[in-house]
Amino acid sequence: MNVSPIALAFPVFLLAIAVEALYAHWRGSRTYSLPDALTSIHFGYLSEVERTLARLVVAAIYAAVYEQYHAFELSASDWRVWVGALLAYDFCYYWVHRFGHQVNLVWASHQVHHSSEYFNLSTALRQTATGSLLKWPFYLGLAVVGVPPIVFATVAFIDLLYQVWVHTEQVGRLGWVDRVFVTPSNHRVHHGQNDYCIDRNYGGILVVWDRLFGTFADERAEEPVVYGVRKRFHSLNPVWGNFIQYRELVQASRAAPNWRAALAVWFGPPQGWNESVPHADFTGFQRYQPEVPRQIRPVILLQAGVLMAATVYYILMAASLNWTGRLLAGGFILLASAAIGAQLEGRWRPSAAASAAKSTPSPIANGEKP
Amino acid sequence: MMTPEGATDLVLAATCAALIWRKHKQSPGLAAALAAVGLAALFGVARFGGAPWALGPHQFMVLVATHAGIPLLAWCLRWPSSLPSQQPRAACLALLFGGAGGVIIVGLLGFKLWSLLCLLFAVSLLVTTAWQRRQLAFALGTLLLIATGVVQATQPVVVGLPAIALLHLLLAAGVGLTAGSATPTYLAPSPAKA
Repeated sequence: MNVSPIALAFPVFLLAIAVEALYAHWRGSRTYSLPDALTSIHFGYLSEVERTLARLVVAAIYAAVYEQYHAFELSASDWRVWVGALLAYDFCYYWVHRFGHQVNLVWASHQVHHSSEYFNLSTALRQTATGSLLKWPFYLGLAVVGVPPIVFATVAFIDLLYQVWVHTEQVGRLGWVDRVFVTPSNHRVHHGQNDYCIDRNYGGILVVWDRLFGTFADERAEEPVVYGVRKRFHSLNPVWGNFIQYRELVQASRAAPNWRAALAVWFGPPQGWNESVPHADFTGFQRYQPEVPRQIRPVILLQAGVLMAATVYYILMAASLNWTGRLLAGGFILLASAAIGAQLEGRWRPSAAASAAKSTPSPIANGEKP
Repeated sequence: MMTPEGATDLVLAATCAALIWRKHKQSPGLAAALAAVGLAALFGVARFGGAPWALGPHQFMVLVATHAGIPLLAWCLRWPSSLPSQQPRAACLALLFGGAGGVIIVGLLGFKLWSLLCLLFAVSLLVTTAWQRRQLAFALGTLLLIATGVVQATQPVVVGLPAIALLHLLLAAGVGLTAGSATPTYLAPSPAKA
């Protein structure tokens, strides 16, 4: 059975999140917010659903390019091929990631991962559901050199897996390791919206690429990192979160004076072609955290549990489903995660839960700002 | 042993390298387009010089050069102040997505009409630029690039020179005359842009 390794790793991710949350609670660090963490996990579901739909296409393209154009017959049983492929993949990843931040079309997809104003292991699962079809051209060079598809898929997974542990505030600085590898310290900088954090530390496993290409920044003890994106998201709906930036791009390109300017909107950097990133002051910054009434939390958690079971089951079974089955199951997961997001935000609540919630109105229901 | 195809690919690669050296500051986009053509030619030198490993990379880069390199070159000459001409990032994106599109549409799916459309697009830009500039060298270069397409379609053998070698020479001369005749003033970004 062709099972997504992410699905198999999912229970481990959840366990790690639980351990980190408990540890953070024990240390008195406000690293977690339940609505935010749930939303991050739901973003992860949508990303995996998209992978089950798009992965075959992307894998087929890589395999076809490899078959037709590869230069060398590199053996998958040679350890040097694996090491070389991992290094080469990480190098390509650096550029994919850099373009992901500096080109609107790709940023519209990648901003999902940065939209949380918290930074914890659940943030690692907050991935885009629109990215697969934009990144593959960056890796075609590996196919042409002759990295076999199985090696490529495995090193891609290793690179992805490595990046999970760096999403934490619970690990401090690690000395020289911070200057060679991507670590929690330098990845905190990457997720920051402080001036010195913008467009820094793109590496996947090695941060030496950043040092080589001038995008490295060390964490500053005197300036705590403020996480998130400058165009604040203010939503816990993962479906909306995946498309909000595209909507802005459509609006901006429609307002452009001509077709070349419209094209430049999609391929330009988020701050504009000839602009530098403006200064931002974060004095008094409050993280987005809508109040979820205590009475409806069990209902939401129950729904989240059902959605989790359904998603893991779907990902495990996806390979044996036809396209109609995949689309229907994907549609269900999409709607369910949007519904839970709406409840977390206080925009919509099932009648049973709503009646329970009446006794304790949320600030949002009263029209107050969170 | 260097074959005529390999030797002429070397001429093409050298032409591209010289033009990149001269033009990369005035138009990074033009340099990127020339780099795609030059890299394809370099793999060609290896391929026709007897290195079997270079066949795949050469074919791959020819697709990238045909569907992204040549159109980008024509674009940069037509609109020298445009973003693809002046911004390395825009030029790289054009090469990446244009090239990847060409590899899939033509290389994997076999829709060869796409190549024709890309080349027609490039030729139309070059012809309008030649008409606008009324410069003999540029017009001659444009004609040679059009002749490259004719050679590709008809595969003639001229004075014992194989069609592929002729194609390389015409391409080298065409690229050299069009990109080479673009003056620094012409390629410099407009004051409004700068």
